[in-house]
Amino acid sequence: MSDQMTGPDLRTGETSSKGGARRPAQLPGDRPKALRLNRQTGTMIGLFVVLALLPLALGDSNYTMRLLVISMIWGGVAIAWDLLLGYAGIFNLGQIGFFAIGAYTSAMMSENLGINPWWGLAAGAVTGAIVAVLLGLPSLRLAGIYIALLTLAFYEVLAPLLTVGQAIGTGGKRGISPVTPYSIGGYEFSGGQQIPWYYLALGLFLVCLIVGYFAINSRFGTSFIALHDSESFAQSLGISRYKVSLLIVGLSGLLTGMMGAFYAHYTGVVSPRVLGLEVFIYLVIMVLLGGIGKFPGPAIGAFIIIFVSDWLRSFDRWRLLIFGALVVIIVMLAPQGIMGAVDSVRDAVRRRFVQTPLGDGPDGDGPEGPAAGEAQAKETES
Amino acid sequence: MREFIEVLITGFTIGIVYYLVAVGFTLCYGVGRVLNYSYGSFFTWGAYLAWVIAVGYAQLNYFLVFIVVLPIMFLFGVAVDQVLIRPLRNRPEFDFSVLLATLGLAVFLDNLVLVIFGPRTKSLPAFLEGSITVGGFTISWQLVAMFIFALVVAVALALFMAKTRTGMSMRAVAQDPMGARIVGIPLYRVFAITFGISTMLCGAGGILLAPRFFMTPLGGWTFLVKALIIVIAGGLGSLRGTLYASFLLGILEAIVGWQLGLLWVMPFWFIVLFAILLVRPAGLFGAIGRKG
Amino acid sequence: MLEVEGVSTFYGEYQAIHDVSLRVESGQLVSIFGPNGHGKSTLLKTICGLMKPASGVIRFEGREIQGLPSHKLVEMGVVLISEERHLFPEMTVMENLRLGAYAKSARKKEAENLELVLTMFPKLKDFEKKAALTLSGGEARMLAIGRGLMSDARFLAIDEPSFGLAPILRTQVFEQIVALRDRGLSILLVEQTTGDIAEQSDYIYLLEDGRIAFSGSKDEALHDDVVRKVFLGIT
Repeated sequence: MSDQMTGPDLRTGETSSKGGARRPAQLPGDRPKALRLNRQTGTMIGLFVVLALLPLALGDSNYTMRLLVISMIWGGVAIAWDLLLGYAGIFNLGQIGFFAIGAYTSAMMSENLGINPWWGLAAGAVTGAIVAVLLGLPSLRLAGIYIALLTLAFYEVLAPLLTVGQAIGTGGKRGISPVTPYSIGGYEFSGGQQIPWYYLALGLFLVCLIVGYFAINSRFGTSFIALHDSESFAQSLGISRYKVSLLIVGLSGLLTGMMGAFYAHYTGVVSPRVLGLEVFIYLVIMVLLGGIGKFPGPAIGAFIIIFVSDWLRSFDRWRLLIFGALVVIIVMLAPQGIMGAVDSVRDAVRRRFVQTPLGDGPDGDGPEGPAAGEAQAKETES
Repeated sequence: MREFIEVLITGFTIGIVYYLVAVGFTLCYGVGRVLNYSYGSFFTWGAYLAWVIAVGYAQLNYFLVFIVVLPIMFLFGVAVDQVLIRPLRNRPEFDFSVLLATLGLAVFLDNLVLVIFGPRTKSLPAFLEGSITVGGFTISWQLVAMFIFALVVAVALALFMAKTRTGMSMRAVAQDPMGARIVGIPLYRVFAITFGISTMLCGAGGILLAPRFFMTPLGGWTFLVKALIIVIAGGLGSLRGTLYASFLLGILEAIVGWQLGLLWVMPFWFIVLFAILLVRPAGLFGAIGRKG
Repeated sequence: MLEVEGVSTFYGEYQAIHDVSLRVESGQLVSIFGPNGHGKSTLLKTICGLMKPASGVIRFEGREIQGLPSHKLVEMGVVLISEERHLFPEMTVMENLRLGAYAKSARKKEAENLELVLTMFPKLKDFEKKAALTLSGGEARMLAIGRGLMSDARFLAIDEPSFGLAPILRTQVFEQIVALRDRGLSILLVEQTTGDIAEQSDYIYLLEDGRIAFSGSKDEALHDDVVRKVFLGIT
């Protein structure tokens, strides 16, 4: 029950059911909405089209393309993380760990075992998924804070482990370098020509977007959002929170590991530095800025942050200072992020201009009054 | 053998200081329901402030250091609570928001240290020079000073929590916030005071441990993790558990560092934690922290 | 002494009470009956500063108090004894009682009130050092009431004090409440349904669906058939 008076309730570890027994946005039995054009798909398609065509406009600008590739990598990770954070309500602080695992797996395979890097992509994804699930097994049975703590522990212990793991070929503190780039036919990808990397990255990014989208909007996906929103309600439908959460965690790990693998071969080096706080805070601010739980906001956040960070390059030490302050400011003042702001504006515009005589909600969801339709639209958009 | 005893004594002493740091964290979570991610940064700032005053101004008069830095830490804690945390308490996603806000604050504070003091490690000279030899064992005066000070603070805190009205109000808020409101306890004031005390304890830990551990801008994170581990291993919400875990881990850390080298210390912390959680999933004395 | 005018309170988007008005005169025992989940607890919490009303005015001794935080209201002498009790589980009975007198206005009379409470509930003296979570339902109920009294309240809002108690304890608790009224306290009592306390009430309200469905003196209530049968259990 949301107490009107300010003051926290005793934390019992139960997911707070926001606003009481609210009907979740979409029940698993509802008509699948996955394939309609709405804010999510619209943004996704727009993003993809822009990115696909951008190289034509950019021509030779290798540097900008490099930034875009990096943005796409982190955009994918941000989406994957947001599945847990914003939709499933899991405070996973170890996301970067999955990234590192994917990167190391792929790099070790290609450098230590001489396996073609393309396999590394798959391997990175798989190991990412496995590690994620392994982490989820104990964590997901516990209350929110324990999940945060356990995943934090995982994150903290990974770097020392990788350093100590020199014996099995992790390269210790220095990591592994160089890492073999991809090749198709006889052509080997190189740092000088960004185009192949770019479109490969775009493909992977698209995978993340699509998987993310369906995870959220499909029958399966809505079940875990339902769990987050109203646990008792969902449980009455026989949905096991534990199993669904594990699946989502695995999916998130899969996408992240895949991006990690790509990252290793793209940058040509993997080291424990990828687990540093700086990277973590970047990821946090990307998701925050884009909008937690507002697909595909986090991906957009990634692009913004990468470019802003580059712009602030000359500020050197002050950069992180600014970013730290930025995180605080965003949390305090604009916690819904950019996508959230967009949503609010859109809802405000709708309320003023869209009057549907049939009483359909703006998405044509069913014969409910405009007011209810709007409320429902609000819920479905998140 | 003699070396072993000395290591034990060192570990025991550091254990008490860890207890202070862990208790500060527990208070923050137990009373204020806040997982303070900038706790490590507070630790760092405590140490650096001490350095500034000890080396810069006070000519190593540590008494001065304590009476200047601790109130600053307290006030700073209260400020953070009022400015950052209090506005977030209204929100349904409070837990998460506060986690992010304190994380952002941590990055900000860490990099402020970096910008102001530079990245090179600093060291705080010991409070007291020399050592004392008792019954064949050599103990540095520094260690003795640490021990006494930490003990005094720990006892003072225990008395404060048990006997004073403010202390009891903090316990009340930790046990049942609604009950506290019913009884007329001003919740927000308690939150502010708690956060101030928590920050102060953390800073005290930073000052006491600075001479032993090298000071770097990011050094505080280790202590946040250690505090977390102690609190979980001891059992969330159990002060007794925190006490035992602090000593256990302090002593074990000393032994491991002595025998296996410093590199193994952090992994060992995690190993001990997992070992304890395997046997007792809620920590040594913890109440149930599980879902359904 | 206490006036509630047109008060509405929401839980998020759900409206728990609609435009409720009632009065408690000084020294009265006023009872609110009604089915569960219809807003009785919400009403009491709103009056005592634990929830904020969306609209309406609440006056205590002429002073507007709606929206004020609970700790200010306790200082003024407006105290809630909650249905869920909200005792401090790991503190002893004595510590719980002492915390009841947290408010500055209550501290002066702490010793006096302590004696009063221990006289009313002698069993508490035996349990002085027991942790609150070890108490049985009835004992906890007594402690909750005792703790509430330690605040030196002038107005008590009591939420279902007899819930889950054996009949003999219920009678005892009600007797204590009536005794408190006789000593000059003003009491707003919420109960699900019971005959005995209705007999002693100076005024009765019926809360249904978050609205006042009936208000009147005890005699008027006794003459209203529906009220009699359904809620007062009198045939």
